[in-house]
Amino acid sequence: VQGFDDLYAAAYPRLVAELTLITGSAPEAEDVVQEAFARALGRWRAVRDLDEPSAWVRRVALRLAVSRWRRHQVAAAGLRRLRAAPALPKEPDLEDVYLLALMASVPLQQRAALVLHYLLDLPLAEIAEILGVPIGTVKSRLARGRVALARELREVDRA
Amino acid sequence: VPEDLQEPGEDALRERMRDAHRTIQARVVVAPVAGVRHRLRRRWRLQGALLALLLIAVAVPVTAVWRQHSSVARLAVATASAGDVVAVDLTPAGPAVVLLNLDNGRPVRTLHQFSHDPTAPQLRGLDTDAQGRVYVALGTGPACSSDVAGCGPRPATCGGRVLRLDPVTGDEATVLTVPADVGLWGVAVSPDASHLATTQSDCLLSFGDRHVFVTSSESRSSWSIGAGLPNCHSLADVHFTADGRHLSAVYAPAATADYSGPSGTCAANGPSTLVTVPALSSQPGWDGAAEQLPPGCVITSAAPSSQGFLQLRLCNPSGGSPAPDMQGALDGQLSVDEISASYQRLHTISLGSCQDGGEVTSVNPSRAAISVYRAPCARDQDPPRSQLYDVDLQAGSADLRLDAIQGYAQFPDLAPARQGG
Repeated sequence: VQGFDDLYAAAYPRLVAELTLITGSAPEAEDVVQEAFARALGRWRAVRDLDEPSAWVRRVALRLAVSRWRRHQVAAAGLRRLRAAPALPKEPDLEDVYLLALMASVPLQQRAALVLHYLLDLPLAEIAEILGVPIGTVKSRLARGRVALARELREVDRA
Repeated sequence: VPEDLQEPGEDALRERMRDAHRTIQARVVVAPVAGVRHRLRRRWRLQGALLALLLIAVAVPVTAVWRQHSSVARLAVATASAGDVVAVDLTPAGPAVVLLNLDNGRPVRTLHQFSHDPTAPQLRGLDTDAQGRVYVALGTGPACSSDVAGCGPRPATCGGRVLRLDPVTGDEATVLTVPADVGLWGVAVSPDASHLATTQSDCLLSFGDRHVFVTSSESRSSWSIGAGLPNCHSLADVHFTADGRHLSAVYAPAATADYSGPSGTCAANGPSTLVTVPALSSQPGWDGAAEQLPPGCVITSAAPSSQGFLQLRLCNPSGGSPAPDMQGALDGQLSVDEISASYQRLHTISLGSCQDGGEVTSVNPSRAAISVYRAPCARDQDPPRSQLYDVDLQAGSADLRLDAIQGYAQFPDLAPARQGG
C-alpha cells in the first residue's frame, strides 16, 4: 500500500513513546499503536488523504488506550472487592525514565491531557475533541494532573 | 497554597516530558509492518466470525453461554437403557451432560451439571466411546482486548481440556489439556478409546480455520490433520468411524481467496459435505472420500452408524445455496439420510422445511436421534422452535419427542450411550 509503510516507519516510534507516557506501559502502547495502524491500513484510501495521517492514528490509539483503561478500572475494582492486588505493569527497560513512574500515579485521562498539551502542544479545543470531553474538563484535568505530578516531582527532587 | 500543592512551572514540565519522550522513543524497536497487516487480516476474519456468530446465535445453540461450574457436581452413577442417548441439556441452571430417554424426550439422569460461571471453561462438545464413557471438551477464551467489533483477542488466552466421565464408576479425569495458544472446539474418541481427536484452532475467534489434532494413547504420539487448509474453510462435526481408522467431518472448502469475501470477511464457504479421511496419519489438508451432493444441498451434521453414516441434508428447492439469511432462517428442506460407507443412500426421511439442521446420532442399527433448531421461516411468522425427533430408519418415520418454542436447541449435542444395566 503506497505510503503506508513510510508513515509506519516514520511515526511508529514517536507514537509508541507518546502512548507509553500516557498508558504507562510500553507493551500496551505498542499494542494500541499497532492496532491503530491496522485500522488505518483498513481504510487507507481515506486516511492517506488527511492532512496528518499520523494524527488520525494517534487519535485512534488514544481512544483504544482510554477504552482499555476503563475496563482495567472495572477489573481492578473487582479485584479490590476480592481483596487481591491488581498486577502492576513493570517496565524494566524504562526504569530510568522516572517521569514515567511518576505519571503512573496520575489517572490516565489526566495523563492524556498532560501529554497532549505539554508534549504535543495541541490547543485545548483539539485536546477536547480528541478526548471527547468539553474544554472545561480538559482544563480541570490539566490542573489536577499538574498538581498531582508536582507532588510526585517534589518528592523525587527532595530524595 | 501549601508548597506541595503548587504546580510546577509549565516550561519545566514541558521539558521533562520531552526528555522522557526522547528517551523512550530512542528505545522503541519498530515492529515489522507485516504484523500490522496480519492484525488487519485477523480483524477482517474476526468481523466475519462475528457475523457468523450473529447468525449462529439465531440458528443454533450459543455454546458461548455454557459455563462450567467452579465446583462441579459429583458425577451421578448411571447406566443407559435402550433408547437412551447422551446429550448436552441446556437447563436453567446451566448446561448439563445427561442421559436422554428418546422414548419420551426427557432427561433421565444428570451425569454432570455445569453452571453459568463466566470465568470457567465452556462446554463445547462431547462424544462417547464403546464403553459408554463420555468425553467432554471444555474450552477457554479467547479473552477480548477491545470492545469493538471483532473483540481483538489477546494472544495465548485460550486453552482447554478434555474431561472423561465414567457413568458407571463415577470416575472423572482430565485426559488431555491444550495450551493457552490453542483454541479447543470439540472432541471425538475412537470406539476403543485408543485415539482422541480434538478440533482446534489457533487462539483467534475463528469459526472457519480449524484443524484436527489426533493423539494416540498407545504410542503417545500425536499428529494434525488439516492444519494446512487454506483460510476460510469450515470443519465441523468430527467423528471416528466405527473401525476407528478414519475420521468423518462435515467439511466445506474455502470459497474465497483468504478473506476476500464481502468487507474482507470469509463469510462464504463452499458447500459443506461429508468427507472421510484416514485418521492414523497426518496430512495438511482434508483430502479423502467426499460425498457428491446435488446442487443446492449441504450437509449440516453427520455421524457414524452401523451401516455407514447418518447425515442431515439441507436442500434449497430452488437449487440455490441454503445459506442463512440475515434472520438466520434457512428455508431449506431437511432430510435425514442413512448412507453406506461408500456413500450409497440407504434410507431417507424428510423432516420438513424451514429447518436449520441440527445434530444427529445413532442410537442403534435401526434408530437415530435428531435435535434440530427451527428458525422462523422467511415466509411465515412461526416462532423459533427446538425439536427432538426419534427416527425409525426401517419404518421411515420420525416421531416428534420434544417441540418447544425457544430460541435455541434444547439438546445441541448428542452421542450414543452404552446400553445395559
